[in-house]
Amino acid sequence: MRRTLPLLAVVLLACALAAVAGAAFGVSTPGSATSSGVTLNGVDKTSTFTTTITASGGTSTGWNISAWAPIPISGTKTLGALEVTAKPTLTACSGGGCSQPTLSGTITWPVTLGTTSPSAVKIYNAKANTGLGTNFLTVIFGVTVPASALPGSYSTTLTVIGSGAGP
Amino acid sequence: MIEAMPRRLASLTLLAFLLAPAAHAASGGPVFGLRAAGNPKLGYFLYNLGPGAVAHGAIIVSNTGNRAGTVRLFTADATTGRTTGTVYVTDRRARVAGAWVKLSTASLTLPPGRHATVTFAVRVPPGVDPGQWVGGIVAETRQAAQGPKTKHKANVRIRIRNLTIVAVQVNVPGKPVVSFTIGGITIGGQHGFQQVLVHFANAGNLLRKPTGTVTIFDSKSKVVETLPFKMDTFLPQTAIDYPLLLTKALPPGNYHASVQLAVPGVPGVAAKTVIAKPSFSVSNQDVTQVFTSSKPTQVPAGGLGNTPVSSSLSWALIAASATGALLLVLLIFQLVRRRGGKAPRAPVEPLHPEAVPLPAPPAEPAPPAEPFRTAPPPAAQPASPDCDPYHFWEVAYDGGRLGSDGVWRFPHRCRTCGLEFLASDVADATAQAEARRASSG
Repeated sequence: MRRTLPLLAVVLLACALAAVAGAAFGVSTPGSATSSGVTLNGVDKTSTFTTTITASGGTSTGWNISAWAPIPISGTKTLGALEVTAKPTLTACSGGGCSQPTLSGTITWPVTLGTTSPSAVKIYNAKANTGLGTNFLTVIFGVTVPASALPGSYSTTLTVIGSGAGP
Repeated sequence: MIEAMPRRLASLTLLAFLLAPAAHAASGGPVFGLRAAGNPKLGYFLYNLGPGAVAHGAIIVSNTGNRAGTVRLFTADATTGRTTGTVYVTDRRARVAGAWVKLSTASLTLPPGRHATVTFAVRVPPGVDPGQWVGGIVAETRQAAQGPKTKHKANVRIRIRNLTIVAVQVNVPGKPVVSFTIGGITIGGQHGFQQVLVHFANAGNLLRKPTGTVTIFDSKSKVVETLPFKMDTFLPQTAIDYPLLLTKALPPGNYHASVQLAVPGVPGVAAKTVIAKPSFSVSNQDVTQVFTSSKPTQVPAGGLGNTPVSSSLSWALIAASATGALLLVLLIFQLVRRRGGKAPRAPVEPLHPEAVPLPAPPAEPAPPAEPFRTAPPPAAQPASPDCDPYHFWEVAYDGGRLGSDGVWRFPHRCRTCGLEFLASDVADATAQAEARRASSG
């Protein structure tokens, strides 16, 4: 018994360290989404969709998630830019030694996404020593449908970018 | 045998620990991650290289998903994001620092749970100016999914592309230059959130994280508001229109501002403060644009776990976690039972809480916890008999206030029980209602 407890402690510690130290950071999302349809009645509307971003392999260096998307188009018709309408919510993290992210710096929601990659904007991040393991962010995106928008099925590509610590 | 049992138990625990992330990652498809080989503490690559010099490195590409997949690898230039911070130009070919990095392969196919090492060379062209240059190595998971068409009158189909990036910073030795300029101010924003956009440029050759304030004066030189700000990384030779949310809306008129930017120095170069006093005006059209567009969308009551896109993922995760936990409990129970006839039970039992460190998966989807609150209450619990089962929050969007934490809060009033709170969204209002109920009784 005396030998067992330290052995278990060492095993658990090793597992926790292995789970977060040897990880490769990456983000994943469902490959597609469709925003809620809106009925056009002469006033501006917001069409929304929800997606889950999985940030896996978070290490002690912290991480960032940014995003951009071109203006949705349907032929020659366009809508407004995409935005993250509110602070993303987190569900329980997973993995040995995991932790939920603590924001580094200030991100003020709603965040309007840029429409080209250089204008990508940060939508969430984790400061050093937080966001370890795998974390799940539920993000609500909105698309402004102006009163003058024409009916149709619009499309765009949302690029979600995960990066570990960087300069 | 008795000695062997705790070891077996420990082995099972180890197995369960390592399987836990896999169970969660098992939401379908390949998931690629990147790791800077040899740089675990920094997390990215940093080289000090003169013009014409070459360095070599390696990146580890892992597939932590549950299916084989192909990842595209390429390089990109870095620039300053619209709200500062390093972002990468991934929609065009790298031309500057990104082009200095040559990868040994442009794509990889990996089975689940496997990783591969990809080597690269960083070659700084001759004649490059001194300074800090940043590029990135990008992994893009190939997905062919497309959202279904619907019969709604106006909807948007969104393809989602996942990129993972590791930075490559190259410091080219030479004279450090700290230089920022401040340009004009324009007005912007939408959904009731008015912003001023201040043009800043880093004309130096160093990565900096400046801080500053923007003080806005009306036409009678009376201070309207002061907006402090703290920037993230601002890359050399880049410029942005930095958005600052106004805490109080500006009516149409003429204004001027005092912009002060403090740029930290480096050894050998003192910190600098740059000041500018640009003028700007707010037109009726600007105000109309901001305040007649649709209202910000709020999180629906009851949380987000039941939203259509996330629900399948959440249930898959919960099912995987629950199955894993059940198997683990059964295995441990079996071991303990087998051991029961040969050794006293007492020494084993106290180990259980430590030996099963997996987070208990919820039996049913619970509303996602807000990360920065100490005790988020379950939204589904009734706050009072009057509000059973939910509060029906009415939100006064025109009464929003920007908190010192950067979060907008709006007056929320429950039309059933009359409770009123200043809250960021309905979940926040519900949490405050729960907290009030708990404290009162």
